[in-house]
Amino acid sequence: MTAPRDRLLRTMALAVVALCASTCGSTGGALIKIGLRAGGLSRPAAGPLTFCNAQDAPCTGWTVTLQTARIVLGPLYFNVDPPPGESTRGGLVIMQATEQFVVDPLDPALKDVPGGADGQTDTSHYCEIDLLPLQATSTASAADRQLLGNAATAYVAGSASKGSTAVPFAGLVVINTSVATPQQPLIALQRVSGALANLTFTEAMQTVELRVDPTHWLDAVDFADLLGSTPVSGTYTWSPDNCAQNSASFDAARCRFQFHLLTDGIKLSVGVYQFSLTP
Amino acid sequence: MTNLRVFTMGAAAVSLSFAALAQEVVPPQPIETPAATAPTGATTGAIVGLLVTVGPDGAVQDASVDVSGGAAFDAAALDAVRRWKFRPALRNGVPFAARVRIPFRFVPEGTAPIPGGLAGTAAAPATAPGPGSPDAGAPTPSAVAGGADAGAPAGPAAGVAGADGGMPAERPTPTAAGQAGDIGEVSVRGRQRKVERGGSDFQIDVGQLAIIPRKNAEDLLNLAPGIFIANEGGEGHAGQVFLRGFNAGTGEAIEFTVNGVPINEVDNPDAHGYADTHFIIPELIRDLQVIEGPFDPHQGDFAIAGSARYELGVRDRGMRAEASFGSYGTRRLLGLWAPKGQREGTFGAFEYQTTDGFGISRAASHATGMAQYEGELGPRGLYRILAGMYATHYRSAGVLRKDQVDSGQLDFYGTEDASQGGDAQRYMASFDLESPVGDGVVTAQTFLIYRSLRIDENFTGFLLDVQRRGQTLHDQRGDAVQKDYWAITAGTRGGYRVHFNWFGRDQAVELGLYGRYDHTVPTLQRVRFGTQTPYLIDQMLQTDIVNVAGYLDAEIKPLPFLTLRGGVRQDVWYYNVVDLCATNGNYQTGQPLNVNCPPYDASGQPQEPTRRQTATGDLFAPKVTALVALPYDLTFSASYGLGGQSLDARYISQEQKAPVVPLRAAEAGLLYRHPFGSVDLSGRVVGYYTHVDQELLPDPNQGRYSAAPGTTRVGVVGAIRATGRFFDEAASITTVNPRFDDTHSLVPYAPLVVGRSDTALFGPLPGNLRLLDHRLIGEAGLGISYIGKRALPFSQFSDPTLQMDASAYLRAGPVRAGVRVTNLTNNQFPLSQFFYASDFHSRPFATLAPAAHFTAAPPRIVLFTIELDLEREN
Repeated sequence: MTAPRDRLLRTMALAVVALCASTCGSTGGALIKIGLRAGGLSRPAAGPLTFCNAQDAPCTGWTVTLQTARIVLGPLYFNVDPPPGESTRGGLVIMQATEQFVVDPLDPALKDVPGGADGQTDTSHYCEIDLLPLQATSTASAADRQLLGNAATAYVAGSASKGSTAVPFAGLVVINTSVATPQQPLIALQRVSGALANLTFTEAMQTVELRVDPTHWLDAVDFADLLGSTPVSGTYTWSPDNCAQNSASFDAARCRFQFHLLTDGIKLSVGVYQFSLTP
Repeated sequence: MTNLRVFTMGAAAVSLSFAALAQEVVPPQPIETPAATAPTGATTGAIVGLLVTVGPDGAVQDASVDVSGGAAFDAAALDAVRRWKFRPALRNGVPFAARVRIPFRFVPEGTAPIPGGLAGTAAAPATAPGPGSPDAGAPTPSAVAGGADAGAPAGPAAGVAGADGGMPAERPTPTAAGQAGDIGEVSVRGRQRKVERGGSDFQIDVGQLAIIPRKNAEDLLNLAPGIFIANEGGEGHAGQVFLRGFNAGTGEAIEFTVNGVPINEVDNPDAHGYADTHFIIPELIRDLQVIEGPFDPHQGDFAIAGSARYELGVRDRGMRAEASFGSYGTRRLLGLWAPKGQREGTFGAFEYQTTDGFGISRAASHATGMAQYEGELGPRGLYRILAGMYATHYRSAGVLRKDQVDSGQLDFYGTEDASQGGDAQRYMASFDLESPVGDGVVTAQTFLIYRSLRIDENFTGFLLDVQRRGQTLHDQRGDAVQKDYWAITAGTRGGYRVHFNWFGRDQAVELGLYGRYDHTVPTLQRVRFGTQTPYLIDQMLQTDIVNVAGYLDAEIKPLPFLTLRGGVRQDVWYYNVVDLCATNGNYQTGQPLNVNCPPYDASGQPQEPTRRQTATGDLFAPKVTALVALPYDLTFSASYGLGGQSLDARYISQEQKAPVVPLRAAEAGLLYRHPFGSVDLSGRVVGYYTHVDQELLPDPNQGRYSAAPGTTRVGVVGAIRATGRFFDEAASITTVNPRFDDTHSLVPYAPLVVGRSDTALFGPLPGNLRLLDHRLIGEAGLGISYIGKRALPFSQFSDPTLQMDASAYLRAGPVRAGVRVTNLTNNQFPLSQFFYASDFHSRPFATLAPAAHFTAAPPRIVLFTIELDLEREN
């Protein structure tokens, strides 16, 4: 009785193997499309944000109150590997959000980013964030377009104080060839290369949440660099021409201010851009 | 009670002698071949040679014993042959009485027969070594006594002419003045039949299945079970071949030959082993042997998944002109000359085809000329001189992003980059001979090939040309790659197969050699998008590769029911690679311009941009097949073999032993063949297992195939073929379960189930319909391909596809007209699908994450054909 049964089992096993070709298994992984939401620092309500740019207490740096802030972000590329350089792409991009969007870092409300993100299941460790001027094709409110124009990547306005010195400030962050250097070419300045983003994308319905923390934007900034200029309507400001050496507007101090604001603030890989996945 | 099974020597053919003398003689061809019955009580085998006179009406007029096998066996053979019916011999188209020498071999039951046909094979006749050497060794088909032609009774080349791999030819005797009714005598000689290698060996006599629409020689591979061919490169680009779940790429895992001349191209920048068969005129293909595994010691480099051997010959003798025209501006002209009175291997042919192509960037044209002369060498030998030339120019649509097609940005038959395409040329010459010497047969061949090609492809758009550290700032110029290649190949092969008697049975051993030298110049360059302007060199090599091999192939029958075939093969490769741009990519900060092949290394130290590297590699490969004869016309077959592929020159490192990518395969199955009246039925069921240490998968970033981890496949093949007087049917189904060894996930891209049915109907139309005093002959063909779902990256599966191709022809005397339709139902479906990152500027910003891509399968294409046979016999 055993032999026929064994033969039957063997036959069935072979049949399963053969049929399995068309019914079992997969190549692993999946292509997915997920949501993306972005907003400002998580706090109870929107409004002016006061902080110490030395990130200490009592404050040894400037006490800054941001009244208004905007930043244009995107596209975003989530990468498995660290980017090989600020001006070069590389590694393995597994998820992308190919729309530009504007974030108000002072508003904690998360807003949907049109188009969301698409890519594959895997775990990313870094995110490349492009910092480009607002494109005509990008979705942005009229107010944001009016504020940012078509050349700026960000806008900040507020006041800073240190002891008895108060520096009201407001200005656009424009990244163009004037601020570029051989060591920091334009392509490198226009990208946050390798913001930490340890995210595991799965086939479950997920949403990437991005919060922008502006308190680190001004960590390395010395507002005294603005004091040598003439305030406009009581507010100190700057322009990328301050960095153009052959320009009449060249101003080394205000150029240094912009450079720190950008490279040691907005472009920081750690702390400024906080990613999480929900659920 | 002794049961004997009866075999003829097959093919009638060992020798034919009949009266004749005209310059254009067609020997008689058996139509009905009832089996002989062995004498009651006989316990041994015997060979009986008969001289048979076939009358002008095809009936046997007279039969006598030429070589006696004993009175009882002689009587049995005579009794059988008197019931045979023939298509009469023809001299200048006129029937005449002819005397034929037909050997009968009586073999005790249990001796392993090889059911020759099976899916794709029409007949498995015996060898035809020539007069006086009635048994060249290979077992003949089962009880189809005289089964020389059992598989193709109604085919144009049935019967004697259909014997063995070579066409028996007539040697007219100049003195035998010929009139119908005279008895002349003609000696017929032929080539050794290919030794069959068990359940995975498909010896395909194209025969009437040629009716079914096929675009080119590549498409004929579909007659072998488990093969699926895609083409994302354009009309002049080699197709992508999938075999039993094995992605054989553009041929790099299958050894291709035509009349023994290798087709695979060493160090081709598209793929090492690239095999472009478009230079073969389909009408010249007489038969095709596909071995789906490395089970034959004759198989060499690239025979990982198997081998495909095209044999050229023209059975319908005469002069023929054909014109076709149809959809998308397609036009085809064919001129074919196969002089009567000459052997099947003598022919000349010219083909020109042009098309505007379906959709954008798919226009193509090619011209081919092939000529061969097959002559006689000494008293029993044959030789062939083959020459061929081919040139093509084609456009290619390449791959399309699915999201762009879905959103309406691109048409399904559109293109991402209209500058893709290529051109190619091939010139070849070959001389080979085959002649009995002593107790064996000597074969020898030498060949010379010149090949050049250019392929422009763009798989990734603007993904790869990014700013690199130290590189001068630049905009993205595009990822299009231009692959240039030219090569000169010279080689030789030869062997001696000797027969001897051992254990009272015929045994055979063959020793052979193979040598091939390739001088190649492969170049890979990046070109600006939409142009043919190179801006960067990816690779520029000059290689000299030598492959020398020796093999031993034996056929041993230790027991009456057991046949062992196989042996060992030792391949050795010598690599001499000159990298003409060994410093490629060494950008140096501060350089005013990027330098393609700079005279410094990555650290900035000076060095010459060229570097020579030499290496060797070898592979020792055992290959064996066991065949066990079972009752009821069944044969059990089991095979094991190891195959391999040489290393692409770009991976060669100085003094390192160049690794060979090996594949191990095993299989077992049952084969069956039996004639039912005029219908010859064969079938097989085979289970198989393969393991390869390294898989080749498409790498879109490089525009070529790259190495991936090892894989294992198991699967089952079922195939059947039935041939009758008015029909020919071949059907097969193959399943496979391909897995990566490390993750056990499915290997992508290959279809998991492949089904194929080829049906041909032919014969005079009922009612004796006539046109212009000629009886109307009808032909109809239907090919059905079922491609099951394909595992794709990211757990995706393609949808199964079912495609039907059909044709119908009418012949009235010398005129034949018809229509061929491919993709009859006009299904719109992707032929190939890929998942990878690309950036074709489909969105406002770069797309860097993986996405779906595909190449479009051709829509319905209708071609009308008219053919004029200028010398056709009735």
